[in-house]
Amino acid sequence: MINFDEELRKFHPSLEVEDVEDAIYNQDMQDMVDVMLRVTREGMSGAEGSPAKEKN
Amino acid sequence: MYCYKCGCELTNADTCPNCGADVRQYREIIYTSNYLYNQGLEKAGVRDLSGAILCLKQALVYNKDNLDARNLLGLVYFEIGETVAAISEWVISKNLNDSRLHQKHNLAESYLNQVQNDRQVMENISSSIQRYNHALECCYSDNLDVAMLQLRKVISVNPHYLRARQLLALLLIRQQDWRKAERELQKCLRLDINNTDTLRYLKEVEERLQQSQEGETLRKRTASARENTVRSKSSGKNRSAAAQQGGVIKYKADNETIIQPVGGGMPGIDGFRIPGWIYGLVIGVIAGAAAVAFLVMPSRVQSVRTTAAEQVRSLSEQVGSQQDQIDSLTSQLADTESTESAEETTESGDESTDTVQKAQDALLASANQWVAVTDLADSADTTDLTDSFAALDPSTAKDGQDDAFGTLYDSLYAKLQSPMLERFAWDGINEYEKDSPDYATVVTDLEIANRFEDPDNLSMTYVERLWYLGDSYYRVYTAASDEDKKGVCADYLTKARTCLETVTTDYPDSEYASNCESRLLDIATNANLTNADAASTGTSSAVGTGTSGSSSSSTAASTSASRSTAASSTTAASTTAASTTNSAAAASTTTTKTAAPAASSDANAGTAAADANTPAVSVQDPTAADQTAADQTAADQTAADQMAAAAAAQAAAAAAANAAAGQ
Repeated sequence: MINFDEELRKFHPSLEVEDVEDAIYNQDMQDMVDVMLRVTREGMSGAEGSPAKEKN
Repeated sequence: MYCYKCGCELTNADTCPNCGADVRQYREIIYTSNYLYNQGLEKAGVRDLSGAILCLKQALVYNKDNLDARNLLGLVYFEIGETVAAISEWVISKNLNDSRLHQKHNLAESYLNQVQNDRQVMENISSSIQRYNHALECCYSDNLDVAMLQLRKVISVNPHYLRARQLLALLLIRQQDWRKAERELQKCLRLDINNTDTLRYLKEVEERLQQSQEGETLRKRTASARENTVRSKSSGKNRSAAAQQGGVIKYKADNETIIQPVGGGMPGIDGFRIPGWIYGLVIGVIAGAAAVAFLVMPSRVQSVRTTAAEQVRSLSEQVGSQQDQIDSLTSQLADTESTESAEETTESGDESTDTVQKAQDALLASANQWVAVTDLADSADTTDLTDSFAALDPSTAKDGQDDAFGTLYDSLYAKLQSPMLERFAWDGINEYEKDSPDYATVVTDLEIANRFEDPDNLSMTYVERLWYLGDSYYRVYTAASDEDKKGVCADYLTKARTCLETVTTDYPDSEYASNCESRLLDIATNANLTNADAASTGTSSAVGTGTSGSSSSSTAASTSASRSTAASSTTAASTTAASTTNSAAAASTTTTKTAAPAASSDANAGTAAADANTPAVSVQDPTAADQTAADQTAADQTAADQMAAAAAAQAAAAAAANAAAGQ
């Protein structure tokens, strides 16, 4: 049995054309590549931060 | 594929050939993004737009630089009506390409050009979004009708707007309009075959529809069962318990219990059902009456009118022909009358000519005789002369004659008046006194004698001659045949009465008065007295008394007064005296007391009036020529006549007394 009110809540107002710029700016552009690079970067920075560990 | 560090194109090795960076994980991420893009592309190809969106989004999560995925995602968004999202993806794709990737032939640019450069498309998109947002607000405010109108408008402008169509379907489901909701959801499926919301709504709608169909089927079954039970009612079969329970049918449809009354057809008023055949009968009667009124009656009425018009025409023709006949006959009658009047005039002219000629002949004969006469006193010598002169009526002898004739006549009349009177008077008297007198001869002789009577100097035998003449008139009349009574002797009674009344009125003391009275009684009792009076109206000249013969009765007194004016040479006053005399005579004959008071009141003037009445008597016959003179005389003798009337009344009363005493 469909609940009208509940289903109605699932409907959201559409963005108008004037709101395209804001929508683009607010969009999260981070992807897996960025995550991988960040992880890689953090790994490498961690390794440089601890030189004694590597000499031993 | 290019290195994420230096951008060098990679090979199949796990490291970058340029910078030596480990690209194994990078390569897996890219491969995964591509795989997801392929998945999205495949789903988009079968119009599983919702699945394509998920895959493409996932592809972009792995690799945001996957322009193909981004462009396709924008395209899918545009297909389902999410135009702003589509434009966002295409803008991002274009910027990424322009800033870093620098790929050739980026589809996003062409998509953007197509959308942004077409102003009408942008306006439609903008209006659709605004209407959709407004409809959504109406739904939140429970203004569903307005929301539906707005959504229909959006769909008409942008048929691919999936969310708007889904919202409309939801509203229809809310109104339990399952059919329309199903139609909208089917259209949504054609746009996106695997949309979860669409499938869910559609499932709900189909379930509802199925339930309603089942309920309809059940109602039909129950209705058929009810009809069967109604048909079987006449045969006395029992009704199906399932179709009827206490006069109603119950069945359940999902959570609802439907109760329908038993009994086919429309219920009647207060339960009374009117049989259907009555409706047909009434309608048939009305139709038949209308057919008769509009088809049959006009022709009948027209035929009746035509017949009536023909009859009227024929009758009019008959009337016209008859009128023509009448006119012709009237003209003929007028012609005939004019001819008769002309003939009468001619005849009268001829008669007057004959009369004039006869008078001239008689006068000439008299003149010749006069010349031949030697002794006027010799009656034998003058017989022829008097016979000739007797042919001339003194009252009319000079009518139509010239002056010479009149002079000669006057001369002869002066000479012969006495001889004429003497001869015919004595002839008449002698004849009357015979043992067997010829009363007709008496009448003739005495009439002639009275013509030549001098009214200013009456002879001694005047009264006697009046009695003889009156009696002779009566005797001749009574002895005459019925034909003569109506012809020659028609006025003899009147003349007789006139003569006798003259005696009784003017000479009551004479020896002949009583005889006259008795004779008057005889005349009064005569059955033909009135006709004789009417016939004698124009012949009063023979009376010699100058009174009108028509004044014998008191009832005809007024009429006789008018007659005497025209017919008698006497005056109207004498007529009045005659009428008065007649009334007095009637009183005397009937021994009434009416005249007595009048007679008694005028006793003193009776004698003088009797004498004065004498001049009122004229022996001349009334003619049209003497009428004027008579009228003039009437005025002079009015007073004398009145006195005479009084005297006559007195005399009549005395005579009545004598008669009563004598009886």
